[in-house]
Amino acid sequence: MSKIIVLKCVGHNPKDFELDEAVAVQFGCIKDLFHSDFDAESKIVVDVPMKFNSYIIGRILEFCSSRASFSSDRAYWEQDFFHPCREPNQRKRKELIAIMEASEYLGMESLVELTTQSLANYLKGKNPLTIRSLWKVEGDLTAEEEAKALAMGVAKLGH
Amino acid sequence: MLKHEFSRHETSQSSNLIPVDVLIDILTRVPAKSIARFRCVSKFWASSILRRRDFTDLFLTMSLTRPRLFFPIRSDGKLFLYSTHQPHNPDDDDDDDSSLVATPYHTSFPEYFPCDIYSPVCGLVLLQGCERKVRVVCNPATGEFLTLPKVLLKEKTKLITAQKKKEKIARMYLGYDPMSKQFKVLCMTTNFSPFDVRDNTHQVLTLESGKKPALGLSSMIVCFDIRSEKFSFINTKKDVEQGHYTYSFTLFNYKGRLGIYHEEDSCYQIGRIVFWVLEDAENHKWSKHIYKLCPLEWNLIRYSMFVGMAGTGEFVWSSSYKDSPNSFYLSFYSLESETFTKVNIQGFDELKQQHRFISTYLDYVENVKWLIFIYTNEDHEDSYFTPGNLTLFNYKGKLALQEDSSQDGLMFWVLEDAETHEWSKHIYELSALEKDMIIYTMFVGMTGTGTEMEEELRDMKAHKAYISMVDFVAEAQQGIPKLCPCGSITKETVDEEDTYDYLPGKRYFICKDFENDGLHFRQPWVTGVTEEVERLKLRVHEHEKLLRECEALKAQVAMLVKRVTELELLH
Repeated sequence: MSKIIVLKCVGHNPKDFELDEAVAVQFGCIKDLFHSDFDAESKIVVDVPMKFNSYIIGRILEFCSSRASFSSDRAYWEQDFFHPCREPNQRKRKELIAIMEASEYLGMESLVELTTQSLANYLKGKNPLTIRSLWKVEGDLTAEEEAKALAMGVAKLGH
Repeated sequence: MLKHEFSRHETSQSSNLIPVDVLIDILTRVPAKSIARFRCVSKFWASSILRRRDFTDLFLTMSLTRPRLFFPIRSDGKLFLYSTHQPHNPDDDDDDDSSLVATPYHTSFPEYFPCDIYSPVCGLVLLQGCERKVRVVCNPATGEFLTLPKVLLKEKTKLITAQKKKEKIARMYLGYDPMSKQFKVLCMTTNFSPFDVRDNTHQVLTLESGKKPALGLSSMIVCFDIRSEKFSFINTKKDVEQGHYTYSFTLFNYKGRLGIYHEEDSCYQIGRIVFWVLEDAENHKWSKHIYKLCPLEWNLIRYSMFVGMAGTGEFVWSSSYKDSPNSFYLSFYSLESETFTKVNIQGFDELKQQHRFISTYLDYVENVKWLIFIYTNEDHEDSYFTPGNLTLFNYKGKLALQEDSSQDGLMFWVLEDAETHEWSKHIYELSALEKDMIIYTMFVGMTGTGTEMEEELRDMKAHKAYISMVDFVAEAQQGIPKLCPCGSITKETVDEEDTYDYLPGKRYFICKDFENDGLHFRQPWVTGVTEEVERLKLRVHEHEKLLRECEALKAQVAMLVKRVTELELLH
């Protein structure tokens, strides 16, 4: 008599994910559903916004199931999240940002914390020029303003 | 205006921007030194992200969960500030506690700066003393400092040398009120008279946006409440001051209550840790706590200086001097487990002199709240960093800065344009008599009449309406714009000025009569084309769907027609 939650992803690759209880309780937005009275046999369908594609949801669910089972793979998963940020891997970083947003939407505090921390570790100590190229930000400070910022005690910009 | 859109397509090479709130979440976990460096990324980052109130507040909250150790060192008449993360922190992942490396904050202070530093308050430190006339509040994390204005002292006239009573600033204290999120500076002045009666007065200065105890007289502790700005006194028990000198006492924070640590004379064979905790402030009740140490442990802290109690519930002693590498260490004593941990602190090797006294402060939080918000122009900068008195005031609705230098007469700057940071300088020459009149007075401000309030209200409404209009225009800027809100058509241009080495300039869809007031379209080519393409794609998909349905319908209709004809034939 277990309840089934279905995550419906639309977008490029529409896919439906079925979750069992152990995994679904990790999502803050779904946890409340378990406390309400409803027909045990019925399915609950949760629509995921279009911007979160099925690949991202799939990754999150893999993480959740490894946490739910408390397997030794958990360390591997955490390593996997932190690792991409040490390499200049653009694709992995974008994926990480997507996972972060999706987990925030779904209410998974621990995963949000993990992904945010790994992104912060990546940004730590980076040159502002790298940040600009990373996020296609226009460097619109004049030479004067840059000099002022440097004079305020910031370490050298470097090129 | 930058657009905050996010692209989920992994294969796309286009915009990589992430939403601002996501970025803020990430940046609160980045150390303060990197935050200070990121000011150089772009104007948008410097002004709209890193200066946001919610970002600085969130950063402070995160910093409070990972407090640091703060080491100010005086060397060659200059001040160097170092810090490292505090060990035994429950949030720390590292288990390597035996040795820490202190990293310096890159702050270069001008030469006239004082270098006596006291306990940091919520990330800011107050520098005073060293016979320098100026007092400065500094934020090591951002590298900014703010010179405090001169304090108005009573009876400061030319006749003062004739009198024996002279009012002098004894000391200033920095405090933080977490309720109103304001920093306040308490200035204690004293009058020295031959009868040694202290006629103390005090003034409080509020900086932008706790209880401060001081061990004053021999049997009393003076408390100043930051929120209510009132003094109160707490008596200490008799056996606290029995036959001991006041300097062997140190006040510290014992789990939110006031504690007094007593350094026992080293002539005792067996060492003990003795301290008092204030149980009841109103009734002046203290409780005495004694922890016995074995000779080995006693030797560890015998020649160390007591620093205080860390947020994690441990007493900390500092060896204070650095004679050789590995000679500066901190000893942590956990009251629960009654064990000592010794932590070496390294990283001071670049200081020239070897024998250096290193002060230690616990629970230092990095605070990235900016002290200075508007850049002043070059002309002004020279005078800003001199020990003058700068006062902000309202000049007919505009921000103005008055400088207290009576040589040129009355001099002030008015902020003409907040976006381009343009200031206009105004000088009014005064006769000698007029200068004399204002020389020992403090500039207060500029008066406004009653009707100015209504005017201000009207101005505010107009300003608000203007801001929302600019906002609407920004929102409206989508795709490839053909017409600008002002009415004129847009065209494609290449920005010749903004080239970077060998790369060509950026292309824009720009209004024909473009003005940089936020009410005209200036869409980067890349963003415009992307948005247009996205929209067209959606439409194409929709049409495709429609067409497919049409096909299905066609087949149905054909079938129906067939059946109808069949039925007709039958009849």
